[in-house]
Amino acid sequence: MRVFIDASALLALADPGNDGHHAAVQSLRRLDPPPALITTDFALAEALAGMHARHGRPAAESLQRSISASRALRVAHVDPDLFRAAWNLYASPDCAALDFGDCTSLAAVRALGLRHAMTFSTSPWVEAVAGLRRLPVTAAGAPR
Amino acid sequence: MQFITTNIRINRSAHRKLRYMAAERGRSMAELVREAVDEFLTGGDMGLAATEFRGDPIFFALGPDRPQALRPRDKGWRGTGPRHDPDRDPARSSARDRDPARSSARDRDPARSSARDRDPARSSARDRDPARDPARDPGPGARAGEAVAAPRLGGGLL
Repeated sequence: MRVFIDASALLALADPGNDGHHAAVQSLRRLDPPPALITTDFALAEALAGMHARHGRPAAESLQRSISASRALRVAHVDPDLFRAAWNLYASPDCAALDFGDCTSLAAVRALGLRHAMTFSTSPWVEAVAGLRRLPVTAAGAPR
Repeated sequence: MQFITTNIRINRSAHRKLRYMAAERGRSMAELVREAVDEFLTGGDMGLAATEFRGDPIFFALGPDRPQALRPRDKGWRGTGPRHDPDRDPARSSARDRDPARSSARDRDPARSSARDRDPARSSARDRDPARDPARDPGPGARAGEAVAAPRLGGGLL
């Protein structure tokens, strides 16, 4: 199983002080077999900027080192085709509620054929992909 | 996303399994092959063992996971509800505090304030000396911890 990790989920996983940290970690550790975590370089940039803004440069560097050392997380690069797809999504009226970062995540999930995405964003980008399941889920199995 | 069309050779058995799995999942064979290729190109199923996954550095970027009550921003208050300050509880304040008419004559009459209050020259060395930081030396009247600065954001995380 592969799970897309957006910037908000990266911040939740990495920061024990984040409100979503516990739910994020537990929902991934419950999966058997352990999932492959996929993110994009765009989401990574957003997460590093968010960590820098909230906790300062040393925390952002610490996140960078963890990502470099991680074997569970893989970074998919937004190539020109993917960028163009995200660009077109951003211009479409269907994605008026999404920011450009959401559109790159959306385009990546579609291109990679992923079925699960972890996010703590209030943006409805996950719901824009038919059949994509949002993590974490509640005990009742309903999306958060 | 642009696609190109190509021919691949796979053995008869793999083809049969692939066709069966595609039918079972209601998806096309090409879709399953594309997904497998994507997994391969992105590292895909890395085959991490559960223990290895649990210990992955991505979960500990800023330090180990801690229970909610011990998080750094909660330092000094480990309860789950709002901090309760009996001094600010109206139900516990005295009748004197609630009724201005019952305040003392000293409170109401500026003329009855002490000479020390009125005369800056009679202020103590502590009041005049900025080097005597009240945060470091809260003075005899301060309660424990009262003059300590609020914990800084992210303190103890790094």
